[in-house]
Amino acid sequence: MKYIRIVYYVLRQSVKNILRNLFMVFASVVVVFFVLLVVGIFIEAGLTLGSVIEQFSDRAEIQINFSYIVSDETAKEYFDVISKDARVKTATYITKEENLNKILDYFKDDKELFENYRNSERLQFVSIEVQLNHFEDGTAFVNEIKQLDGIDSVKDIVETVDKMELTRFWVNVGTITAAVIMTGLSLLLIFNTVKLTVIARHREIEIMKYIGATDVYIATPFILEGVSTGIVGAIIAWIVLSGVYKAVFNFISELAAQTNIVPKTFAESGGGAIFVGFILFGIATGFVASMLAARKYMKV
Amino acid sequence: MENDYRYDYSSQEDDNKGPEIVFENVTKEYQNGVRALDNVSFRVAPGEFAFLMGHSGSGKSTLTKLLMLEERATSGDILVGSINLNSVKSSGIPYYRRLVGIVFQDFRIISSMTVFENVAFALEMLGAGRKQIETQVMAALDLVGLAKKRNEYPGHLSGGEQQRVAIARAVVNLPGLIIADEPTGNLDTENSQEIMELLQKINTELGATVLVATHEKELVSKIGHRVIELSHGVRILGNK
Repeated sequence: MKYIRIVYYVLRQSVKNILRNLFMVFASVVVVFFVLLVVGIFIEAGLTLGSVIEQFSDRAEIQINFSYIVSDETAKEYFDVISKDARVKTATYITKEENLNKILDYFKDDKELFENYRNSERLQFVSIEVQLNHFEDGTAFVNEIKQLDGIDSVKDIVETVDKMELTRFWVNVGTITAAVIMTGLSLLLIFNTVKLTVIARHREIEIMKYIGATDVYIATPFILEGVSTGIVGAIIAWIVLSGVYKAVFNFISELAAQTNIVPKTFAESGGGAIFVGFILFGIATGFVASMLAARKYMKV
Repeated sequence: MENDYRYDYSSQEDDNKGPEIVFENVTKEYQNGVRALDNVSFRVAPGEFAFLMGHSGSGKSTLTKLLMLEERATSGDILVGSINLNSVKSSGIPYYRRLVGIVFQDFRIISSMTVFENVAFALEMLGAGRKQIETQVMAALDLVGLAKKRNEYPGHLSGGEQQRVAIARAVVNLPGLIIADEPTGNLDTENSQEIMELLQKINTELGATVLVATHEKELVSKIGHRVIELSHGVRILGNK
């Protein structure tokens, strides 16, 4: 019972501290919110890129377009060779007509314009869609195909994935940089907020020490103030981040439709883990900053 | 009152009286080389009321700081009851201070709290229940004659009354030892006399050992208790 009363007293002091210093607490919450939102956006961008890369890698698709001068017979000979290649999982032969229909479908809004080109021999070409067993074989395979006669173009997903990997690398660098800078910023602001509260209650602290309050007892309300600031900032940041994610989800879905990539929902894209991470970050920064401030300014 | 103190005066000869204070060859030298106390020895008996006198710079404040464990002796032993203050670790200081009531010259009460809250503060911190707080705070306020002003804020009280609030806070958890550092320094003659009488009353009624540091000779001679006099960090009077 005695300890419950002490906990109740400490909690009451924490609320008093927050109310006494509401503006600075609000500023700290805003900073924690902003920090986590920025870091969260970076993390989500990295995770989404990772997911796209994974999906592309799983497919390991390559499209070989023959020149219009290559006949069906020659293309089929190539198809037979490619199909038997050990690296190839599946190979699909796409006739000239199928390719043409695809193009017309793609530009369906300007179908009439393209109707006039239906008989253009440049649009009469054969393709082979290849799916490899292993994504890692992509570069060598594509290089070999490009050496063949009559190849017009090879849609190389390997190159795209490489570019995405590079982007993901820089996104990760950005995440770490932002996390470090922003964490420093949150620590500084929470530290200052708690410092102001400690200074404002200097006299009370002094008296508490003389009447036998332990350092833990005196410091706890200040630490709780810092920790609650961190938690509130973290919760708001997560709510806004999930909102932002949902808002761009449709946009991502539209882009994805053209590439057959299935976008992930916020929950699938680590929403739960991010929530836990944000809360832990809020607690940790709040705890460390307020602990440092209390230790430094509580000496009376 | 629930007792969870890490220190007690269990080896006291008389449990109804406050602790004995013993200074044995105590020297305090500050880091800047100033020797505030030089080989000081004296004894205050359990439940005794004693004055600690001396001009400013004589070492009075240093001596009270040593008793409050705000400072540590450079050499020598200080005993409060069965507690050797040299052996009290930093983490044990708060528990030791719960056994000591401290009264300052500048009152040190919180202006945003009522008289009742200022006194209750010391008990809340120990996790005392509401009923216990009400009973003990009112008893302390009765003792200092401020029960009717329980809801007043310090700003509405005279200096003497503010010092009474500080004394009520010092005695509310029934400490065995009261240390008063220049408790009348900010008060007029009439209020000073009243505060001294109040400290005497606490000594008589609660059996607490009371040590009052002061430089007011006239007041001390009126009250008439034993005087331990310091001059330049050396005890010159007050053998017992």
